[in-house]
Amino acid sequence: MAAPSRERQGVIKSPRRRSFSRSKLVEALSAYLFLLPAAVILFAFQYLPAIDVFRLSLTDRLLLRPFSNFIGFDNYVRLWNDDRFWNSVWNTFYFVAGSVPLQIALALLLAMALASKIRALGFFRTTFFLPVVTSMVAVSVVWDWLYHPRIGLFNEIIKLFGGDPVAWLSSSQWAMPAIILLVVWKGTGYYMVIYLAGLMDIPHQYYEAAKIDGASGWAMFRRITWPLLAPTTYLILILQVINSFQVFSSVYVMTGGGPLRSTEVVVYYLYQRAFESLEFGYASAISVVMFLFLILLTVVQRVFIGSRVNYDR
Amino acid sequence: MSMASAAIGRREKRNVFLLTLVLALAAFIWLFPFIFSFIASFKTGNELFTNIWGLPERWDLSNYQSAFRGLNFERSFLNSLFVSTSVAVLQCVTGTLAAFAFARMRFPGKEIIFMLFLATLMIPGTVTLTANFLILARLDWIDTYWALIIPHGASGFSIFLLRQFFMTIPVELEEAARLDGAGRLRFLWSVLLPLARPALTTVFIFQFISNYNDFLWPLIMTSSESLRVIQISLSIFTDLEATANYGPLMAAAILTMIPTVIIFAFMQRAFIRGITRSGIK
Repeated sequence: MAAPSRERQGVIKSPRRRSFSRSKLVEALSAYLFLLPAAVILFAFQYLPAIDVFRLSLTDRLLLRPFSNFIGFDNYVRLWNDDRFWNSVWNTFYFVAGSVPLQIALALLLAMALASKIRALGFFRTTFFLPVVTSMVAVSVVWDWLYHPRIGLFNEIIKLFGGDPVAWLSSSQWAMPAIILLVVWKGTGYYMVIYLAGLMDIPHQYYEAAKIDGASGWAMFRRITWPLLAPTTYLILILQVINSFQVFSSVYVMTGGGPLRSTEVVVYYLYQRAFESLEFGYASAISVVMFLFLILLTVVQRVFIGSRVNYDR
Repeated sequence: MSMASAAIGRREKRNVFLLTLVLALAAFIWLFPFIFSFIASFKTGNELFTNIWGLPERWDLSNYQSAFRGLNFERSFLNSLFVSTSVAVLQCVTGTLAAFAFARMRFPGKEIIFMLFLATLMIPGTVTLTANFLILARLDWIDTYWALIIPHGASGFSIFLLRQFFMTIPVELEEAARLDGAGRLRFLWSVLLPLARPALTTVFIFQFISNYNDFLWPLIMTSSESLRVIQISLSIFTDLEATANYGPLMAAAILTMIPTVIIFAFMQRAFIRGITRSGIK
């Protein structure tokens, strides 16, 4: 909008200004044209549904019924009293609390090991990264076999060391840890690569100076590595928490939410409501709650952690 | 002095050796599922029960034959290939155009629009599933290739990555091209794009692999057999073979994994660059 008005001013002032502003107008118009394809897609399939899901959550929309009624906050009231929902919330928190710290710790350890003049860096990096590029469905099929109570290799290993076999995916106690283990194995390489890039950015001289001062390995980690990696850790934490709360495929393939709903996470429950019982209104209410929670979480992380990780580098 | 430094050198060497040993063990644990599922994919009949750790008696391909049939491999693989390639190409096109505008052009509202584009990264895909389904239903795209391709045809991630790259290319280059009479599109096409090949490769590989591995979206948006991408076929095959017939299942999982693993083997640098350079995803 500003460009045309500036052009009009140009018309009054001088012919030279006029051609200048005209090129500005052309530039702005072509820029909008360049943005158009991406803008249409992002608007239609990101913003529009992100807004529409709020409206849907206030209706009793069923998938197979074309009309729907506005029912206010009824879905949310129902959600508040839905034990199955709270169970899925609890399971999701269990999953996040189990997988996020483990992945961060492992990713950092591996990255630090790889950053220290090790040979065959390329081989190790590829190895730890390999699960990242494979599909969750495929590795879940593989791990489903590894977890098999009778012929699975994990129980064979436990037996080798004289332990008692575990029922893994068919035990409501072990199913969630089993999924966490799989996800940690699959995801760690991703965060390791980010950490590795962060580590490469730390100037050598810091460590050399610390060594001259006789600092121990632990002291160097505490005083140099960890604080200087804080922005990286912060980034990883945000990515990981958002990803982890959306866990779905591994649950879908390996347990279907069972046994006894012990692995039914929020997205799985949402999927059940929306695409099995076809209650779109209710499922949208679940979506909205999760959406708001994730936004809140990001904001909280930004305020409480983000403000403390700004180091001049 | 020299003895002391020699002692330190020895200690460091020993430490590096120990570290390598620990890493080798970790690497083995990491490769373990791949190695043993590969071996198991050749075991037939009772061998999975009786010969748990050993190599197969015969490197039998019959599991792969069942997996090929069970997955309807040619069809679902071609579907995946077609959808993922289309998405990756589309991302490169929409990403290049938008990134060029953000990196090189002046227009009102630039900052706000850029923030709006980037903010899409904060919208978790799972929370918009219901609303997206209804939007696609209104477009009559449910159970079509359109539903699998178009909604993923642009992302804040690709735009951001390409913009970062375009900003590193000196402005003088564009001015020189301008003096030679090249228009904006001309400059973009014949100067910028060849230079941006590494960045475009990164976007392409990244989007191809993520799309090939995507499961929840095609699970919801398609239902007919002819549209099944390979991840869906694998999950359905798993349901059908639920009676612990793991030989064909392992073969099917291996078949599903191989394409991305091969691409990654050749394009590792480009892929990892996508993670480390963008700093956002």
